[in-house]
Amino acid sequence: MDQTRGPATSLRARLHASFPQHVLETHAYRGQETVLLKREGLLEVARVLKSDPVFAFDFLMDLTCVDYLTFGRVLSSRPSLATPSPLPYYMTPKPDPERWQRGVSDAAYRFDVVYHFFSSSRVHRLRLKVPLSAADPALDSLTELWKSADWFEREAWDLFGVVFTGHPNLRRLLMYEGFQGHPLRKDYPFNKRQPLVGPVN
Amino acid sequence: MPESATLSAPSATETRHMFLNIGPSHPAMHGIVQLIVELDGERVVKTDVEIGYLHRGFEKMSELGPYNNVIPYADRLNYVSPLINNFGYCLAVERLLGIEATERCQFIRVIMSELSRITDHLTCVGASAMELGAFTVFLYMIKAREWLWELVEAVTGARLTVSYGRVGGVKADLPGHFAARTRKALEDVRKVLLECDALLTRNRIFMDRMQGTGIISKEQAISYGITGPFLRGSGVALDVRKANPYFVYDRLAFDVPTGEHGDNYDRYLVRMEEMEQSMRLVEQALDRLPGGPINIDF
Repeated sequence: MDQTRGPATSLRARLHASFPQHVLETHAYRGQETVLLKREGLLEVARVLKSDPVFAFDFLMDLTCVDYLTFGRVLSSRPSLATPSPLPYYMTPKPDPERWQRGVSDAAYRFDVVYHFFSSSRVHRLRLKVPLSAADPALDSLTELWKSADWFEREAWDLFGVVFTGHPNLRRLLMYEGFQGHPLRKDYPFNKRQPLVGPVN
Repeated sequence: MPESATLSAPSATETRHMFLNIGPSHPAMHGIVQLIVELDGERVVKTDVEIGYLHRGFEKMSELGPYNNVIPYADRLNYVSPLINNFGYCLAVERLLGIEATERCQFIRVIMSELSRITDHLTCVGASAMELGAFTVFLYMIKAREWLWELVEAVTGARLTVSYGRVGGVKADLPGHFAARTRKALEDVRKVLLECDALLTRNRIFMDRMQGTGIISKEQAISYGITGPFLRGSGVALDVRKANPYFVYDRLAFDVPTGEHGDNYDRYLVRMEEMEQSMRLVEQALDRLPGGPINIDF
């Protein structure tokens, strides 16, 4: 599992050394490398990741988003009657004090857009995370570099409401036109119902 | 209007592109996808794809329960080879927990994954042959898939909604005579594949419909992030079982077939060869299946 640690560690450090002004934090967990990036530097860093032979990330394997609105609090489908709590059930702090630290504050940065890169020639992977605030969840589109970003970004817009500036066709991908809200946000109730709007065409 | 459309038409004739709505209620779309196609005569110029009809919000439902409750949802992501999704999810959780399944479990996972891969490829090749009118091939391949699903049923208790993977193991051990039954089933599947190979591979109609259609170049395939047999059909020898081996794939011998042209025909050939390679993997894993527990204690 950890056999990729050797080259990947230098990879992470190399990115930090090349872009000290953009990189917020780096860490490795279970042999997987993660770099936290300011959104201003995303496009510049992504260009280097693709073209620099040291990185040679020809695949954008996945692009997704995480909503940290309720992170660190127990999320349960129903309140527990056995242990009454002064807080609402979904605000009960997680008992584990050694929980993973995110690197930026959840209050200031509600979302993380997560990129998974893979290099077929060098067979290594890197995870890039870009924290975004709830007030302005927008960042640059990577569609000019990887075609796979097109639908991934449409999906992230659809389900999380993250805006990708420069995307040629930022429409909903999975939900229908006329759907209200972004269903994978943590404040969207799982059982909320909406009227089904007929096809536009 | 694109330049090619005006050039190919006589100058006095006005040509216009036609829009055709295919699906979601269409015999070939099965209610799950809609294509809004822009046509220049019979040539497709542009397609707008609406894929949301099969989106059932599993990821939202997965937020509600503990992580073990996600396993049945993982089944339903691909209803032809649910075992692979099962194991993929379990593997992800195991990595996060920092645990590794037992050796016997890893071999069982390889066997069941590869059987599922064969059923998946049988469905894909059979269905695409059916859409070209070769209904015989479809019936032969579905018959072969049935033999493999009978094996899956004997192991997991279900044909499709298996929920067989567990974090740190599998639900149950292999039943009695499983190795002998599997070898017999693979022998029968090989015969079916030979028959279908004779019916399709050098068939003039099949070749004309498959060769040179649906071409995706190496560069395009990589840029679109395509993986699996689709990518290998475009000539990229990338297989995650070789590149980042999991389970015990690094201890078993198998080849990675690739295509040359990236067209439908090459993808068909890659899938046919991958079925043979999967059978090789199953046979090796059955030969070397170790004893011991199928679940870890932690």
